[in-house]
Amino acid sequence: MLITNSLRENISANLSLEKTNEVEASLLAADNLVFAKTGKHLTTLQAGIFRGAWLNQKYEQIAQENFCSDIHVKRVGAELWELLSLGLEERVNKKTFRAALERRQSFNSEPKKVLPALLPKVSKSYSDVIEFPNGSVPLHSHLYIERTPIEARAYSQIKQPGSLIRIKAPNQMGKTSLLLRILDRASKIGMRTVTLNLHQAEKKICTCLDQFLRWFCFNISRKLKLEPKLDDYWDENMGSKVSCTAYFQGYLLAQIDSPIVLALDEVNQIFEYPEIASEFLSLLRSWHEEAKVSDLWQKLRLVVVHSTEVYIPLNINQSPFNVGLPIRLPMFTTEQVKELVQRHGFNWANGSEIEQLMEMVNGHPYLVRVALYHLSRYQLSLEKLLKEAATLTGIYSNHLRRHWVTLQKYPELKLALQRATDSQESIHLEAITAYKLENMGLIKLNGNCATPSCELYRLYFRSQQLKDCAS
Amino acid sequence: MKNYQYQVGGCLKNDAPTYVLREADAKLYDALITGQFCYVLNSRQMGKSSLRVQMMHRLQREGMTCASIDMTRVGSDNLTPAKWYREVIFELLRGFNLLGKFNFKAWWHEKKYLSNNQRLSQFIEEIILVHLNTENIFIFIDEIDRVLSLNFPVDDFFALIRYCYNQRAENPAYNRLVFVLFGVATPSDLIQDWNHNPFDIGKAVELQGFQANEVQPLEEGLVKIVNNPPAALEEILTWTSGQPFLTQKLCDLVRMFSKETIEGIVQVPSSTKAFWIEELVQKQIVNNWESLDEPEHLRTIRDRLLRNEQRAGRILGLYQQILQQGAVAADNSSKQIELLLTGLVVKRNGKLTVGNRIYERVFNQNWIDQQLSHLHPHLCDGIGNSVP
Repeated sequence: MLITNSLRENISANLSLEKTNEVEASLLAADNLVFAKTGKHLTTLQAGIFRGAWLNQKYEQIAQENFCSDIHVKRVGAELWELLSLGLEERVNKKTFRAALERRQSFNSEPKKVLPALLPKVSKSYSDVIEFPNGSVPLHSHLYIERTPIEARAYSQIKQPGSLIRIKAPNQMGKTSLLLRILDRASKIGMRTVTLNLHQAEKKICTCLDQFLRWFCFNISRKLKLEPKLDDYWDENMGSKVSCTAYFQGYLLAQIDSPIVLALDEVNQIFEYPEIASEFLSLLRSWHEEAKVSDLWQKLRLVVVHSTEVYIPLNINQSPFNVGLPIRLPMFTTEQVKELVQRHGFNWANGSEIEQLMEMVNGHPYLVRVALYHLSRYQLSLEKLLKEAATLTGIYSNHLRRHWVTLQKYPELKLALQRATDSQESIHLEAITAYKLENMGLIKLNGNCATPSCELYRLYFRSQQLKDCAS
Repeated sequence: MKNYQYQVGGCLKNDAPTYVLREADAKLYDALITGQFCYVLNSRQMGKSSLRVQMMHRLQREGMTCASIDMTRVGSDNLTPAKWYREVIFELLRGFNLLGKFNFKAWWHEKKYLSNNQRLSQFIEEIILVHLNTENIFIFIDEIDRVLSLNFPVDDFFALIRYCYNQRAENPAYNRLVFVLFGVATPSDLIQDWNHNPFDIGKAVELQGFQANEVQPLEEGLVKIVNNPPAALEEILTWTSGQPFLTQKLCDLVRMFSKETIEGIVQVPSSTKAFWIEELVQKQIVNNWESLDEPEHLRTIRDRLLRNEQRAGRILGLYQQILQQGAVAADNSSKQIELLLTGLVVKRNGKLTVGNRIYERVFNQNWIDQQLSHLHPHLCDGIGNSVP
């Protein structure tokens, strides 16, 4: 198993954390296997089914936890076992996949044979483990770099009655990692915390405000371990924003004594439904403002996380969503990269290595982590790493290919990015296109003026374009 | 003053140290305690909701009962008028803490043969005036402009406010009830039927930017941040003309700037203080303002200016004229009123002028030219020579 005994001893006796790590590590392994075969990652629901099945849950239970029907889960489950069979190169099903995956992982103890993500090098103490950067940086990880004074501001804000924090940054910049830490602080001082990822809201739900708010309240109730009682508060003869507010005031906030931190991740998911987004954001604003006159509402603390600007036109006849503490996560500075390098155990004395790395990835947190991970695990020189970085034999091949596949699906994005990579100066892009590319982290924006966010992308996408032209 | 915090965006709490008392505070209070219907209709981010919060606390401290309705919460989901009125009543119940104290659904059902407006009026007479025992009862209605997004007019609602005031002659209990509206609109935007409007009998309370003699509370936050707080604040006001959002923002920027200095305090010789604030404005607000504008303020103004392609050309033309000439005589034309509601220009001594120097720098001639060239050419006809 991934988590070896020596490691186990070093983790504090937190069984659930260990269990979570185990599931997540296996999920990551499975995802890598599937990706290697199909070029596609597992979907959120597939991942949910994987987690449930790993813990021997029944489909019914998995369905409940993932907020969809049994039938849907079974169908998606069947697809998942197909994909895993493909990845593992042997037939597996819900009952056998775990054993197969465990066999595979213990067999492949030599890191180079299997995808590196599977097997972080385990050495004498936990703090020496260099994790492969995947998803958020775990709470106990020593690889989390603070971006002073952002953390301190956020921690102090969350203590304020009725506060609201908005975290904005493109993908893989560390939003969820920061969120985890804010929530950890909050729960350590006795607050209840709930996280809801709006990515989980299916399309169908997002087409109707009433359904969306019911989904929202239902999930939050369950996560607070309260029985959902929507029907007691939902009044068919009123609009859903009033009902939803009544539900919070009359039930959720009344039932729980401590402050409640409600974290909403990937709020950008609903920007594609401008009406829902506009109504929902104005509802959050109105709650935050209500706390200024109501003690009860002061219990509610909101953290809203989104990867793009709120680019949808909000209703002009209402105040904009400009309340609370705004946080934008920037790229790592040279100093922060230097710190991260040291925590990976490197001693780059003269600084030229840092410069070279910065030149290529411009302090992009995820890309820096991937580079350092590979340098620490393999006998690889930085020079070689950087030389191959923008090619498909390099360390970023999966990452780059994934972006390329996405761009193939959206020709207008591809075209816009090509214009940006071609130009030595920043170029003017149509707003929505610009926001989408920014969301992917591919460009940085100054107003609507775009430049590729780092040299790596410029090099890779330019070479892809040449290939396109040649073929 | 370690815990002192300026607030950029959203309304201030009643005990916020940076709340600036203005003339409007006194005017509104005086009008309210004499029972007048008041309305604060103004451009965005001028401190309307902060004024509401202050006023509610003050009145409650004096033993009155207050409720506020946030209209952005009412009227979602493409409602029918019946549902809208039900929401308004429900929100009033919630605001007055009367939820659960009587059976709302049963009461509503009992009134099923009444019109929407009658229900609301009976609700006021039977419930509010009966269940609430304080001398006076205040209903604050915020974000009233949201009713403009409804797909039906709510003239009845405004007529009811008027009715409540008319009733005072017959039923003295109505003297206890006072309404206040806040929002970004003009009375004529809000109603179509002028026969029963409350605005004729009401008091319009104007909200101005902070005046130099009012900003003392903001100075505290600059103590040990800059060497000469009054001078710094004075300089800030030359840029913001007291516009509340921008003034709080610029003060906050000064605080953040000081944290980056070695001693934690900005030492500005008086000879360069103007230059120093100017540089802060230019770098932190004006340059790349579209991406620096967080929390959103300038973008809201931009969006409001450009929201209607048909009229944007005319409004921009008027703005251009004001920018070039420095001022234009106020004539209360619909074009002028629309421009005033964006907040970009203000009325001073019978003239329209650009709100402040920051707006002048952001929405400059260059920006206007760009916008006009984006608009369809034929809509730009006549711009620049449309002197009223």
